[in-house]
Amino acid sequence: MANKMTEKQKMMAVGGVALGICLVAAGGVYWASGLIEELEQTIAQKKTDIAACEQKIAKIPATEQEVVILRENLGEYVKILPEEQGLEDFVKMLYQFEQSSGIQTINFQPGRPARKNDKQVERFERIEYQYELTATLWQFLKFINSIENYERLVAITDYSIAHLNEREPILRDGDTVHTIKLTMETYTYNPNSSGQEVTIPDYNDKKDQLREEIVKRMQPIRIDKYEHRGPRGRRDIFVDPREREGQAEGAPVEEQRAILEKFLGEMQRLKAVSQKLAKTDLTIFDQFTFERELKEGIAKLEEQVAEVNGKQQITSPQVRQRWIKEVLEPLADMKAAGGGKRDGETRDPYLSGDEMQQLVDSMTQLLGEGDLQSASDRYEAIAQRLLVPESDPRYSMAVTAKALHVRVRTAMEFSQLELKIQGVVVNHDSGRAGLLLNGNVFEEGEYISDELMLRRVEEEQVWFVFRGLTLIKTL
Amino acid sequence: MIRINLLPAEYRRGNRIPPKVLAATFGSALAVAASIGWFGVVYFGELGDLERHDTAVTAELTQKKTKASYYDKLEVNRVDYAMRVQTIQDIGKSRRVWSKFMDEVVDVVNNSGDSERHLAWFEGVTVKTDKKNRAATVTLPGAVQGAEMSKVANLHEDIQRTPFYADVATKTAPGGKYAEDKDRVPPDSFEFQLQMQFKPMVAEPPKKKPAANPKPAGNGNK
Repeated sequence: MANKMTEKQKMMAVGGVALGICLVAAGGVYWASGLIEELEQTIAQKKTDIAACEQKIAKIPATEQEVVILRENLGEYVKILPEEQGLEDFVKMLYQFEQSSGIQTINFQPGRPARKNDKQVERFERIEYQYELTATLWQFLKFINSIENYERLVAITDYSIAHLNEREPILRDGDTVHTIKLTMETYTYNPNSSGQEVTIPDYNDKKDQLREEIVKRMQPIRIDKYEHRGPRGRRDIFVDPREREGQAEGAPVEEQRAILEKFLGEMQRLKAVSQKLAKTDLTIFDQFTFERELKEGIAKLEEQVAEVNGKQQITSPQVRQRWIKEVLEPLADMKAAGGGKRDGETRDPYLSGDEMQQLVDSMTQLLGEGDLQSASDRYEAIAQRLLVPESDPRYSMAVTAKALHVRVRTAMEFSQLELKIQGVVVNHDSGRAGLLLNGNVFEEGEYISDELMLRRVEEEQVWFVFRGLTLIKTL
Repeated sequence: MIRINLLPAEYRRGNRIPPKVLAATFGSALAVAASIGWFGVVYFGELGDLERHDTAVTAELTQKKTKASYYDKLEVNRVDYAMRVQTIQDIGKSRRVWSKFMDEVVDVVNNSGDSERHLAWFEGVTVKTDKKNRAATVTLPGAVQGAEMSKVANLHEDIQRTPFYADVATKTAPGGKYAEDKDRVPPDSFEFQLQMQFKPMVAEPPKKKPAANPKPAGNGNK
């Protein structure tokens, strides 16, 4: 057949086949170019994605730090909003507040968590409590103050104070009882309500590294607290203070004035002690003596003030005004000033080395003068501040002071012994001397009792050894 | 006439591949080789290189995506924690310490025992807090001893000097009415109602703008 093809036909056939193959190859190239273009676009997209990923990756260290800090801080923050089981503790605590304040609960209704959806647990759930109670104004203030100062965040939203529907006012601790309605709310925090905590590799190491930053960023949540200081002699503003016709309240004014004068006298004394204490040239012993005197005086006066207030002995408006201004307020100020505690006083619980030296010198001097009682008093006034640990460099000084005190006490106890020396025999040549003591004869070196030995007898003095300490008794 | 070629077949002129055909075949073979070569270069060269590059890029992307996804989770945590902290802070800030308020009211009413300026007392107190903005309203119905209105004004003046007053947005003006209680000494008093509206503790979210009124349907034949 082929042999029968003409030259032209052969050329056409070869050319045609070649053209066909070329066309297929060109088609293949076109197709491959399409693939290349597509692949290039894919690669470009992937490179863009990689760049985006790299941007994110670059932020990982900073974000990790931020998450560690926030996670640690959140742990602290949520302490004010414990989880649901914390509510039982809260209710128990409310009962304790009731007991300590003295209120009487009539009705207590805890509300249900205010969920938007019954099935879905909110992250922060608000719970409301309704209280109905009877209390004096001061009991009520103490109660709500305890709630407001509680570690869990509780907000009092609504309340009302009204008179009891009684003909005669009911009194509790001398104060009028009111009926009070109170609504308060708290929140529970459900950490698992949504979101999952990502696992950060080497979390504890990172936390340790960020310790300073965590503390620095631990912004205290602004939860205002307040320290209610009780009635402080103030009257209940929900009681008409005017006297009832024909019923003069309280003791006669003269008697009230006498009570006031008594307190003013004591206040004057305490102020004088406080002024002495403010002087700069005080010895450490004077300082401790005055401080103790002032603190004891304030404590005693406070007890007496509480008694007067409790019995409502000061009712006259004029006397009451002086009572508040001249007794209650200065006493509160004196107490707030720390009972004479000096500003900038060191927190070191022990005496300084100089002060200890001063104590030792002073005790030695008093011992030399024979004033045993003063020496002992000085030591005992500040004995608690001499209990320095052995590792402290002041320890040896404290031991010296204690040894001196032991000597003082021994000497004092010796002086209390009944030693009636009725005669002495002194032998200058040879042999031992002796004495007639409490009707008995003792020679030198003889024990008078288990703790007392006769050491030497001279014409004008006798040497004893009492509990290891040599003491001389002059005749 | 019949011509018979007696030459062996290989020497016969007519049986040899003609040079034109040979040239065409050679040319075609070259073209075919070139086109196949071109295809080979494109397919196995460029495309192959790109595929290998793509594999490497894909591997890199997979690796980086893992880390990026870790970052995404971290970011979700960060935003979540920040929101929780903010919520707790908001809750903490939205509280008013009523024991402090009441103590200050007691102080101002007692006036350190000075009854010349005013001697006041209250029938009761009602405090209500708005749940949304936490603004509280305090209502104190009360009275001052004596028949002088000025004492009510004195009390109002003293209230305005208290620390809590900085948080008060509005207060009723001094006023009231004379009352007489013959069971009391002195019987005269001036009754009033003191109401204070505290500032909101929480900023209210901006109110949504009402949707624009739909335009009246026109006839479209303008």
